[in-house]
Amino acid sequence: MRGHGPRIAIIWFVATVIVEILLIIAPIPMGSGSARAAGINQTILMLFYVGAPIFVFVWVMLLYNVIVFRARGRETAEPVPRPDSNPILFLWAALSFTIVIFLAGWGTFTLHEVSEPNGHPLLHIQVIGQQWFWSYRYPSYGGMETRKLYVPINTPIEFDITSLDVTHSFWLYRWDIKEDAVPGVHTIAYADIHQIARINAVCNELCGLYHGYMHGPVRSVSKTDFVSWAKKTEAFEKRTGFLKYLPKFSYVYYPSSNSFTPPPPQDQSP
Amino acid sequence: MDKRPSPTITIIGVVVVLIATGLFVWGIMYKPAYGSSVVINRWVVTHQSPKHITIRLDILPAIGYGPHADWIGYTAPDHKHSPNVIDLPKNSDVTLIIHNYDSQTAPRNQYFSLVQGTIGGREQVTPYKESTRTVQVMNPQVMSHTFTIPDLGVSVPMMGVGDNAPATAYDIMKFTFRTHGAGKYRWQCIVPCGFGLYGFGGPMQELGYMDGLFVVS
Repeated sequence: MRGHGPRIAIIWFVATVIVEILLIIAPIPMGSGSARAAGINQTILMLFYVGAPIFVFVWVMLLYNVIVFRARGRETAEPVPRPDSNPILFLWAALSFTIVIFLAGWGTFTLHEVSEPNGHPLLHIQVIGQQWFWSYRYPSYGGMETRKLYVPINTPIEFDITSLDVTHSFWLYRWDIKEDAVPGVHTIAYADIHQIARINAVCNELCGLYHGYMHGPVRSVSKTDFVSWAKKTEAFEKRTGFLKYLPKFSYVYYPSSNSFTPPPPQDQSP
Repeated sequence: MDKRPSPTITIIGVVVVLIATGLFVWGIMYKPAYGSSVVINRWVVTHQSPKHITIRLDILPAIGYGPHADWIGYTAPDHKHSPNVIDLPKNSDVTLIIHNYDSQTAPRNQYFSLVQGTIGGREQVTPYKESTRTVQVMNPQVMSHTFTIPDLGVSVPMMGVGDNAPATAYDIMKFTFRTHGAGKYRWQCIVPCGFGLYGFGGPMQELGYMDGLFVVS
């Protein structure tokens, strides 16, 4: 065995450096278009960075042993096992413990960070799921409703999500925003978008025949463009008389009645 | 004695496994998506002109044919078959004329009372025994259904006939939209007019009734 240890260490070190470089330059899905996506992305990368040396070590050991200690000719003798080494066992346990605790701490901190609003005041945007369509209401702009989701960048946003029929799941993949849309329930997702982009909102909960088609356009624009678009849309909906037909803004609408209007209170009792 | 199979047998084995895997993947992914079993009735619309097409559809409270004759549905004017899949040329204007024989049901989301995505942003409505008018928004209380093509941004409310009107009464809706690029565009009624607690069962969940596809090529 003499000489194998340093040789394995050198191979492991070189392979680890290569894998870490690949991880740095490889594109990881999701990107960092929102504060939430950036936080999750960083956590995924950290898992990879910490896991890569272990992954490489296992493979180096496996391949090294398969290649170097392969059977040559007609060997009949059984290999002699080496006795356990307490320092190695201790090091193994201590290293595993440290890595697990570190990653658990990192993950918990990130989860807490991305689950909270990224500042105030919040722009409220209601997301309404219905088979098979997303629509959006803006309570700050007269409760107007649209089929396109417009969001301003660098603005703390609260998505107030609900459904009018079955359970859907509102998913903005590129920005790592995903929250269930449940009939009669108000769910919340916070966002702070950093990039100007055109993406799609999709449904991530199997919700019927056209679930696969349940997507809609989303645009993130500058604050000025957003205000200009919102005022124009609100004015259009007022001018055409459409706004007056929409129900008063509410965080939930009750699907058991065949209308947008909440039923009498007794319908809400368990 | 060496019991390993010969290289020829190994190569044949690998080829067989690859072909079987390919057939399996094709069977579960390609065939259901593009196989003929999905298409019940397919219309290849005769072009009145290369750039302008007119299609007539009727909405019947009970279509009167097929395995669910008592289900509501969009039908062809002959009331004998359903336009599940309609082939259209790309970059064309399509005028839809819809006769609605069904009564009034307010939509769950009044948002769909707004006419969207049509050329001019309006539709022509001719209520039973009334004159034609052009509307941008319809009172949700007199609505019955919608003709919605989400991926083209088109959604047009359909007026329903009043409760006192005779059974043969119908309202006429007329609007034009543009097909743009090639692709598959589903259309559906967004008013929950089927069965079940949410009204989205039965005819809302099955091709041939309140939904279908435009295949633009």
